[in-house]
Amino acid sequence: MSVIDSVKKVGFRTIYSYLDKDPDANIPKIMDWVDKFAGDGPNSFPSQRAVFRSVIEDHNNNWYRLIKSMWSDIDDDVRRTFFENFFLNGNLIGWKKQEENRQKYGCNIPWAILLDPTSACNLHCTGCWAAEYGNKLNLTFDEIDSIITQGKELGIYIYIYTGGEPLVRKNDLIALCNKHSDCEFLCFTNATLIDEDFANEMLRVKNFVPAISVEGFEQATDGRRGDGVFQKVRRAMQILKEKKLPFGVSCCYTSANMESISSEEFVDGLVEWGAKFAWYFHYMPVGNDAVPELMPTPEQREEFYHRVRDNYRHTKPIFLLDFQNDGEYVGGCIAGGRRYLHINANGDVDPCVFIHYSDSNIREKSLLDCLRGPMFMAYHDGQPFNENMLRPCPMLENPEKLREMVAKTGAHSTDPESPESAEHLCAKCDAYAANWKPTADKLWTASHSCASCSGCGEQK
Amino acid sequence: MPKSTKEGIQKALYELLRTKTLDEITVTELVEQCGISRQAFYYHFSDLYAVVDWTLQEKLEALNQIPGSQWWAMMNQIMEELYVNRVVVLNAYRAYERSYVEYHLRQWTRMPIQVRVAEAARHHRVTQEQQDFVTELCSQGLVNLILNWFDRGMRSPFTDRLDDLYAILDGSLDYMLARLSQPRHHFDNPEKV
Repeated sequence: MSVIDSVKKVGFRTIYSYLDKDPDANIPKIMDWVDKFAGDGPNSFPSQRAVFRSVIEDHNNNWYRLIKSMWSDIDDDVRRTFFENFFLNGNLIGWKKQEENRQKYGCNIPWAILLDPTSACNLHCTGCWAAEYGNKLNLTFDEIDSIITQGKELGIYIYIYTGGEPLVRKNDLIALCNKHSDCEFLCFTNATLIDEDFANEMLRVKNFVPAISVEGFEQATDGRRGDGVFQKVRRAMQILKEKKLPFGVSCCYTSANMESISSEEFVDGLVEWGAKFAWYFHYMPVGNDAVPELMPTPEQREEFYHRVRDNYRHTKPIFLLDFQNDGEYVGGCIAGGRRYLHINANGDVDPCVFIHYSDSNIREKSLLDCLRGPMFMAYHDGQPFNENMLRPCPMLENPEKLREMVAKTGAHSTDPESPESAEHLCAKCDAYAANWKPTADKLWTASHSCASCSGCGEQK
Repeated sequence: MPKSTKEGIQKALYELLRTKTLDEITVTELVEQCGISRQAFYYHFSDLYAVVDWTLQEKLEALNQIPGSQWWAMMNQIMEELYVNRVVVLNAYRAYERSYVEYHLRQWTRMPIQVRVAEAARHHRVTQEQQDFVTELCSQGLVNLILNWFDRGMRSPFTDRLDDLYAILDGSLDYMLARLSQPRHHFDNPEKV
């Protein structure tokens, strides 16, 4: 570790201990200190600091309540580990390393790696890509260990398990948390394998955070996932809450469940159940058996955009991300290794969890060489795929881009059960993309005129 | 979690430490020795140092289980054990930073000394801080003696030195506590008494 990084670590720990002693009193004091150091130069983020200041001065503010709940609801050691692994290693220290390597190698270096430890799942939900993969594929412990070891060399400290049901391999996942105690592990899970014993193991390793899949309330969840699943999920959430372990939820919105899953009643439910974050995913028509009719209509997507931005983000103490509509905060598409990539249980290195076209396999190449492969370089050179970041994806909103990249790079389908051609996939998105464009352009113009922005701080 | 796997790992590490230092041993080598998978090892421990830490932690907990009056005798026994296993102890010790070992030794040596200081303090009007100061002073001396013993290769038993220390402490704890409870001359201001 460099001297600068050691200094950062010491500084961060000092600030954290101070915060930990009395967050109510010390959060504003730390902000005073930040203001003093930031000064008022051009790179001092005045508008961002002003927003943060208004949050911490209003104790009824939803963001303040969320921050405070990290102290009241989360185990002390787990919270400390999260701050250290996620913020310090994953961002402050990791980001610098990632940037250096981006310059050095001229390719994308991600912030997080998503990987499938297994294609096996204990449930068989309709429309799930894992169900179609079959139950045969696994990354071994040593392979995952090697991915993480290589990742840390490049500055990557965030690993997110997907699948399959990752917790089918729970002992291996705990072992990996234990071995890589400087990383933060998140995990998409149906939660049915989270029990008292596993929660105790999570408390022991301190760096494992589940993102539990829910489809809505009982009827909607059981309808897709099977009878009794919702009650098991609620039980898992209760265990996590009792043990003071942090967790979030992952929700897929479709034309069928849009109204209920984006309702205020549901978001309030998530907060009450104890979720600290909610990741919303737009239904993607991926796979030969996909149902394109399940893609939300432009009206539905617009409605959700407004509910999140005009209501939930100002009122609900939960970190809510709507990936398809939040592109502007992260510069558009984050896949292809720009901020993340996906490795499936066969070792194929996909640009995205939804885009299963690849020319590289982690069993044949180093992680760095995968990032320098033709498909990832096509992403690197093509991003952002659209100036309008409400149309971020090279498949859903810009299907011609994916067609072009697959044709140019010769990437093949990595779906081991039923390979789908890029043409077949993209054809399902053409009409969607054309229909969404007018709404996307309208919303983008409305939110990106000078009148609606305080970005540069100038009054116009 | 079956305790036996952890104990199996501990035993295998002990065997390997007979012939090489901790930093020369790999996890792969260890798991071969005890016939488990790498993931089984990492399920329990983050690395080989964590196995040593756990061993020390277990001993410390055992020490906490017995009454304070027996701590000194226990200390004697531990030092005797360390001496008998000196090859293994030194192979582990040489892979650590000295300051890390010192930190752990301080926890260990504090306990038996603390008990004796508290006992002696009953006859003196001293504060808790003053007792802690005397404990710190004496345990720091003991820590340095043990570290020097390690550094010089543990050539003779430490128990003789412990006996000497016990004898010295007997009278001097009383003396130190008595001095602390009395008014004193200040170096910088001889007028002030």
